[in-house]
Amino acid sequence: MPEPVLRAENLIKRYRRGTQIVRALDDVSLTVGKAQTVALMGPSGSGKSTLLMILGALDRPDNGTLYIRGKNAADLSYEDLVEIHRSTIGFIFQDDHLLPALSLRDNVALPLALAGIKGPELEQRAGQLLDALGLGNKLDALAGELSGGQRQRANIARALANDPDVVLADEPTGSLDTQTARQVMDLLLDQAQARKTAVVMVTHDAGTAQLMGRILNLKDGKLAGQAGKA
Amino acid sequence: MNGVAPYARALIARNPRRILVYLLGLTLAVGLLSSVLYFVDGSAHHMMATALKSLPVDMQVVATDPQVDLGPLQSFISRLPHVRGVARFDLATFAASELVQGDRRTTTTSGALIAVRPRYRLLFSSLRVVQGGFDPRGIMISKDLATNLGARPGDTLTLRFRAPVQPVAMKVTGIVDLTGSDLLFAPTDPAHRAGAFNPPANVAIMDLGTFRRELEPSLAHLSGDNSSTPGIVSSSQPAVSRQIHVSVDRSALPLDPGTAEFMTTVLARSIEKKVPGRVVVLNNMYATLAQVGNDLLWAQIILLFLAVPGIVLAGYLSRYAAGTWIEAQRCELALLRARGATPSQIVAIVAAVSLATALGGAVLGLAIGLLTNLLLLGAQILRPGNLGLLINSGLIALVAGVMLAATATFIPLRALYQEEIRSGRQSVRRSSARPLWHRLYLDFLMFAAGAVVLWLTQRNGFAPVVGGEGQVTLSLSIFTFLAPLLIWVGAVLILARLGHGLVTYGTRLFRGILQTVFKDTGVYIARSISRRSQPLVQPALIIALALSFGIGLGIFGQTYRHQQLVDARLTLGADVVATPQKGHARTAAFARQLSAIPGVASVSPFTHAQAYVGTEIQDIFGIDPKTFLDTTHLADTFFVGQTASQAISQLAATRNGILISPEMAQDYNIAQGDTVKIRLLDQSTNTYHTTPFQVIGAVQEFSTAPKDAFLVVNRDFLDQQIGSPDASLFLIRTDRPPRQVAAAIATKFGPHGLSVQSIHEVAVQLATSITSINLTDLLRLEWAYIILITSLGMMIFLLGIFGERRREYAVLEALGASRAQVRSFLIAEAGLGGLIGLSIGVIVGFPLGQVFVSVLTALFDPPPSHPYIPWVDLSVLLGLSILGILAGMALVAIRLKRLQPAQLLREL
Repeated sequence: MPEPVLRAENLIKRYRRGTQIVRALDDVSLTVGKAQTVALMGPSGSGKSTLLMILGALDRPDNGTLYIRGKNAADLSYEDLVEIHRSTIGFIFQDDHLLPALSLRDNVALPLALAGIKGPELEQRAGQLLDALGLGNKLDALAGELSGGQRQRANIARALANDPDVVLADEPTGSLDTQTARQVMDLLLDQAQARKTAVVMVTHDAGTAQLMGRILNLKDGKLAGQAGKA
Repeated sequence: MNGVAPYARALIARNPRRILVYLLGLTLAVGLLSSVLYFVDGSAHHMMATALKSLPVDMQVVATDPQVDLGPLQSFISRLPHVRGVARFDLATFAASELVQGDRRTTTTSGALIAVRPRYRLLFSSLRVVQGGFDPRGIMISKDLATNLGARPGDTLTLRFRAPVQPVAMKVTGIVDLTGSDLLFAPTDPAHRAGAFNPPANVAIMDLGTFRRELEPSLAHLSGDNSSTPGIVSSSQPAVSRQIHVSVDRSALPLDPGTAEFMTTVLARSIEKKVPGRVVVLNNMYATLAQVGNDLLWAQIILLFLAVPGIVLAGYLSRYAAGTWIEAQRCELALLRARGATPSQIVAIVAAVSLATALGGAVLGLAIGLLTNLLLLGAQILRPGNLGLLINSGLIALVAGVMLAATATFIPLRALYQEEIRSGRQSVRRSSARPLWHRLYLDFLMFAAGAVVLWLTQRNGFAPVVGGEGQVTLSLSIFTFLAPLLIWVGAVLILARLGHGLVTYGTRLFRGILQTVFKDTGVYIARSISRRSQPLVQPALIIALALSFGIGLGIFGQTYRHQQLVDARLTLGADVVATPQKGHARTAAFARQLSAIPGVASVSPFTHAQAYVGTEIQDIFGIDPKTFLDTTHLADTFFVGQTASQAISQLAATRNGILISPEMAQDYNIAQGDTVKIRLLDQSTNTYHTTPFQVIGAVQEFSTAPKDAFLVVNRDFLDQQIGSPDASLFLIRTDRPPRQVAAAIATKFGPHGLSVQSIHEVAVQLATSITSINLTDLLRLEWAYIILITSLGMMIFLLGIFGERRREYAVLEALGASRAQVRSFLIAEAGLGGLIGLSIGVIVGFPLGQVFVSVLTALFDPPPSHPYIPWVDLSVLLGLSILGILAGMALVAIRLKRLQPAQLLREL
């Protein structure tokens, strides 16, 4: 049986809110296998984004263990974590977070450059990705010159630039209209499928969640249930 | 929502670092403002002290009733507050003085006879003994009387009075250099006192006890008609003017000349009230203080001119720091609105926050300002008499600080909130549009306007003018100050525009450098900077403005100090001057002894004598041409038609050569090569004889004689003519600090009667009124703040960038950038901003120094031939600025290390 891309066991994350300690995640366990697509649903404050940040190794759990491609994240050095962000995990944020002073091509090429790719290949790959996402004519545009849908497509291209094993998306279509949201989702899932990339996506939208292979519901920091297509 | 205070407190507490940075900026602005205001007040005191220094007697209490007993009044005055001391001073006239030497009899015209106790000289500076001493059994005479009679200590002098008073013969015990004759001998009745009069040249000083015993009884019987000796007392006064001289404790004078004037008036009135109508109090301090009051106004303008740019810069920095804090308030305001706060509640909260921060920053600034001035001016500013001015300056700084803070926080915060409401958005992005000055080409306009104003003011002669002869007058146009300000700001903005263009369009140039330094990310850093060059220009501007102003001030200050020393050297003659007193060695052998002292580079003996040109008495200087140029500084501009070295070489080649003044050449129609006959006193025979000299040129200024008419000859020849091989003084050039060498000479020879002076002491003594404003300390104060502005400017800028872009940095980390790679984005931007700022600062600073020197050239006496650059000081300024920038970068790098990407990426 292949090693899952992500495996979380009994994750607990607490926050201090004033004098109170709040459990943002309360004994959450889940596994994300290769090319799987998972939707994380739940009301505001249920811990979805916290879980996504821990799965992306941008935050640490107070208790529990996260395995990334079989390795305990707690045992990884700073350099290992940097390497994981370069090669294993891609991020898509709700507020696109494209670097405003760089062109779309540079935004997509930057993760490649950080990963050590040099020369013509770098810009060629970035161009191809943007082309595949329908932004071939916007290579030199800045983020501020694009529509919300275009920005999110560029965001997807950047997340996929290094062919990661998993893309973690935090409500990527949250601020888009239904039609654009559907187009963006289709593009994301098509690209993920083509690359055998797993996708874990936080969403409030049941329709969007239905596009994913598995749906996990979080409530008060606990996994309340899950549904799957297969 | 209940109460404004808790929310205002929360707004402040939630952004402690940004609020701290903002407070730092505000503290700096208020600190500098209050420092300068305190300083200006302190300067008033300094100016007063300098102006009063030359006043020989603060008040003269003159008896108008011959019967009034001055004894009890003297005791009364001595007990009055602020009185340092009192002494009796009687004044009479003599009809003639006479000296018989062998079969030669020399007689003078009338003169003044002063009678004082020996301790008078301890309280008042008008009688300086240059030869001999005060002996109650003898008489001292003024230098002029000594010259006129050819009298020396030991001679017996006869004073003749109007009949029937019998002549008095007394032994001359000393020669006195008399200062303040204008006041001592001016008519004592107010109607005549202000009028012009010639003080007597022939003055004799005797002991008051002797005078009362031997002369006063008979003089008292004379009528009051003293018209034969004009200027001593008016015709209505008695033959003997009985006076009490009052010395006021000047350290007790308030800082403000007006208040000081009032204080002395009250003192004078309280004396007059004691014996109404029987004495007149002549308040000599009053006129001096009134003059200081006028000069102070202009001095304050000059000080503010030099200080305001620093204050504006600190204010700009504060405004920038406030901007970064306001940016952080966007979400807070949105949240408040979401929680149901009404617009008026939000405005009230914003006002409360603004007021609290303003007061905090202003109070801190006042404390810093006070501390700085305590360090610079000493504890005197805390004296009770000065508290009013201190509070006044403090209040002005406080109000200005609160206004600055209101402009910097309340108005933008309120505008931000209104913008939010209008746009209905939760976030308002800072505009990245080009600033107004950039769009309107204000940089070129200001520079051109500055150049035109400079040209006009120079052409029309609008400039601060300091009159000669110690009397300071000013003809000063406010436009004078406009030129450097416009040129400074205009030039910096033009270069900032160029820098902006270079960064925006010169990406290829930077790309290569940044790729070399930052490797894989270099190209993206270069592209990012080129598209976001506007924010980079702001800190570059602050650094450039601060540094250029600092450099300009430094050059101006160095030139000012240099010219002060030139003036001092001109007056003193050399770095150090050693003057042997009576009985001390004066020979060439002694010059060799002086040369052996460590730090003495060269010694030149100098003879100073008196000579008659026709009936006019003039100073004649005997110099040693071989050593003179090695020892002292002679500017070529001192000589007419030849250089200094040409003139001195020609003197060396012509044994009886003489350099005369251009006025003398003109008055007597004398040309180079002519022979002039000078009457000299032969000290061995005590007789005058005529010596022919050959004119070799004209000299208008000379070491030891900056102003008076004089003649310069070969010392060997002069010594032979006056029959004395002794030098009057020794000019010394040092290769160590003059003060140090002077101290070494004084330690070795001082106890044996050698008086030693260095140029530093003279520089302090020379300062009069407006030229005495303490520019050195002001420049030091400005520099301290400029270094703070430069380093804090970079730190505040970097924290601003960090605050704006921290989410970008979090995204970079999520994309796989290492901390070092993230840091490289920040460092590159900061480094480039710093580099541009430093470069512009240096480029503009040097010409700015030249402009400062040019427009304030009238403050220099003599005018400088070129600006002087304090290389060491400027290196320190530049080095500290770079260190400040690096410290700012290091601080932000630490903040970057604590970045929490997960938290930042989840924020709205």
